[in-house]
Amino acid sequence: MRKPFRTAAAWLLALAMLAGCSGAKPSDSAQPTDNGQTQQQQKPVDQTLVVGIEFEHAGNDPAIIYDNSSRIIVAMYENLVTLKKDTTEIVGQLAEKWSISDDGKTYTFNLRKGVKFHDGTELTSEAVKLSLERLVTINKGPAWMFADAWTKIETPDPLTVVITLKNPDAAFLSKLAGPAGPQIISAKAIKDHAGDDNGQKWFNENEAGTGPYMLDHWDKGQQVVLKKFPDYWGGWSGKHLDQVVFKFVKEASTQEQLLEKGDIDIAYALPTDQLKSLKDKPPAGVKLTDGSTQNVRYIAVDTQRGPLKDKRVRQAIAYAVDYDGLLKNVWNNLNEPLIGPLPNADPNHFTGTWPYKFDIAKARDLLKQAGYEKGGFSLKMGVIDSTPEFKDIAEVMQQNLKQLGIDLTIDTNAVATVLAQAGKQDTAYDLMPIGNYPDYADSSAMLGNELASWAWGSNGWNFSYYKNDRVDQLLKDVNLTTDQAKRSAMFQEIQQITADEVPLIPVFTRKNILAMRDTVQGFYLRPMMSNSFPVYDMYKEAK
Amino acid sequence: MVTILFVLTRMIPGDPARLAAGPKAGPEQVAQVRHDFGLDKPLPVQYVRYLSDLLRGDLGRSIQTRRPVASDVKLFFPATVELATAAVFLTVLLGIPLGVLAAVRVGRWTDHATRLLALLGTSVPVFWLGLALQLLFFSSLNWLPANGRLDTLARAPHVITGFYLIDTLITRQWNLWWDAFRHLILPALTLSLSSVAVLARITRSNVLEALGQDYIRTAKAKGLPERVVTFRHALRNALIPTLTVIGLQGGALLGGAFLVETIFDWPGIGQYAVTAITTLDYPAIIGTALISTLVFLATNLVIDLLYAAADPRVRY
Repeated sequence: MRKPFRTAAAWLLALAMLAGCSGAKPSDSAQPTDNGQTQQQQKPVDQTLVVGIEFEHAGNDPAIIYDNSSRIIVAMYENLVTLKKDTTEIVGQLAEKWSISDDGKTYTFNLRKGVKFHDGTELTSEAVKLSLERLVTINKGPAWMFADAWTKIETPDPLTVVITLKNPDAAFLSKLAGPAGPQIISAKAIKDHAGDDNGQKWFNENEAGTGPYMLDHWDKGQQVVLKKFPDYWGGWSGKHLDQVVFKFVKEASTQEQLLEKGDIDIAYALPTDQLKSLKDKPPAGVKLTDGSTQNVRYIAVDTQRGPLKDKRVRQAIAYAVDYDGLLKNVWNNLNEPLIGPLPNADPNHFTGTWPYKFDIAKARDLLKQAGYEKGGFSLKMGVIDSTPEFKDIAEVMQQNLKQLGIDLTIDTNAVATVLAQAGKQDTAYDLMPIGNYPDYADSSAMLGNELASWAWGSNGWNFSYYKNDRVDQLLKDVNLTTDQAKRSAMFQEIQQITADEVPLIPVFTRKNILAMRDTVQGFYLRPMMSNSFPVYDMYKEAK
Repeated sequence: MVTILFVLTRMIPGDPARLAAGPKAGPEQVAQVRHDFGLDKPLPVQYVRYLSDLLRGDLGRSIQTRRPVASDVKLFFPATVELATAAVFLTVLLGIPLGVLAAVRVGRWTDHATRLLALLGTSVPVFWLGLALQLLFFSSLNWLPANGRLDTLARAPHVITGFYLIDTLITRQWNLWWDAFRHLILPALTLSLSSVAVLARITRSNVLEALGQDYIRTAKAKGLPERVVTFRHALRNALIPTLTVIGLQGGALLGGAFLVETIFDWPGIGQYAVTAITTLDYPAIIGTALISTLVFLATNLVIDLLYAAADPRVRY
């Protein structure tokens, strides 16, 4: 009787040991070769960077992708102009130089010579024209910045592009330089794969850019593998990566384990509590980088409804947020305070006095002036469930507002639901913690988005349903002039009005702390480029 | 079924087009996405169009991946079936022997240990178990990989069946087979543990009941070895209810795969469905629900057919 069980147990044990004790590190058991076969190799491939990402890659079409996947696409595609490293300074990328007419409407770009696309064709002005036109014809995601921007695009010679704008736009170059700016695609690929959908199906799966890295393969639901483009115009002298793998690892705890074991080189999205423990006690071979972002988190306050119509009530609520408590005790100083609606790193960041600090007495006083001495009303806050910081804000505010006699109901939901509710005025929330970032490196990007009356609800990102004629006028005027001093003054005035009227309550600027292996070199975060990092400038060095 | 799914998905407030266009897209761009996917049509029109497409075998196009749902299902479903099949194997391989062992040694320590294991198996949350196994076998012991279907740089085998274990055998990529096998162990174990527990308990009570029957006493009186009595007489008679449980567990495994796939980054239909639900990707939600239902029904049909094999009295 006992024998069969013993035999079975022995088999199971043997199998488990056989599976386990091979001791092979994931990256050295099987390596691909050109013909797709695998073979044993000794060590992990040098200069292969494995990045753990928490999102599934959404596709490769630069005319459509307008979310996290931009971070992957920026390695494969390039723009006419770009931002220098991690700054907001505009420098040429595929355009070597450019000039702007006096009336601010005509932009002439001289293209770099000898630039090759991944499909072997050369960069021409036709490719630029077709790429820009394709973006607005498809009219999806990033197209809103350019939908009505130009009257014509001319190509007087193969290396010159002339864009004539309908109206002068001081932010036009910044728009071209952003991660959602038009990325230039091979003219041949655009024509060959146009099909009946402007090549949307083809470009979703493939790519034809000029970037330093090209798509090697995309295992859906698993990883995107990019490899070095040998003919890259920037050349390959110096130290560079050979391959970049963006590996989909949804769980933060798994990302951390993989990082500690060296199976990934960068963990892209660890929550603050995990970062805190890594910072306090970094495991061997792991380092943390500290970078500012332009990602701000604020609370949109509905200005059109109930007691919140009165700006004194909005001011009272702004005094009733325990900013320091959140930053120090809840987020362990892993985020930065935010003063005013623009990120701290923005050149036009608010220079006036932002009065709001945690001061319940002051809040009570303002409520008294508004006729709500004992509070006595309730507010509803919509919270996106995928952002832990929003839940923190909601819980802390619920306690803070209780002291003023205001009952805060928290409605936590998936992002699709919260945005749909907030997008319509009749279903919008009274309060809503929200994350925002500029779509291009110009202060008008975010202010227009948050405060303009034409950006109400689903028309933009103005979930406060805020309308102020002076602010609207300034937002229109600010892009009609290229005089930076004048523009700066206008940006300051807009922010001063915001400080008085409180359509939004700034809470913090997100710091981007990334955990990575100490072998990773050349890393810096590009806050204005979707928080991507410059894989071309990076390399690995043995420690 | 289709109607219920259609109505349910449309009742959730939310705008999938906005998410697909990118949260910062302008209203015209969101409208373009809505138009592309027919979401700008009145609901009855959308419903009739969906039904007529479905009759032609077209499950529609996913709003998020922008690929046909049918091709996404084809892409992701084999991974789930491979995982669920491995979990069923483990369930049978561990659950039945444990149940028999507990039954023949009733009241002894092996019985108690099995019962304890069964209790743990049914009460430990899958999420916790998955993380614990990851920590133990990957982080601490470094025996098994933590996630995914293959190592980072390994190239997936040429798709023949979609089951890596089979495709790598056909293409004779032995290293890759081994790689796929090692990746399968932790998720399959996590997925199967509660089923193992249920099956062990059911087998134990059924075998115990069978062992008390007259024909067992007769068999023993005939002088048959205990092994033959237990396996050929007692277990075989105890198999019918056990099979039912395996069938039901098969369905539960399919559901459990949603969670396990998330923990282990297993690129199966579970992950796909979870993303579809969070992004309100209507065609993908309905498509995956329909396919899962069909597979559940097919599993039960197979179990019904197996009754006949286990019990000669059952004839169809």
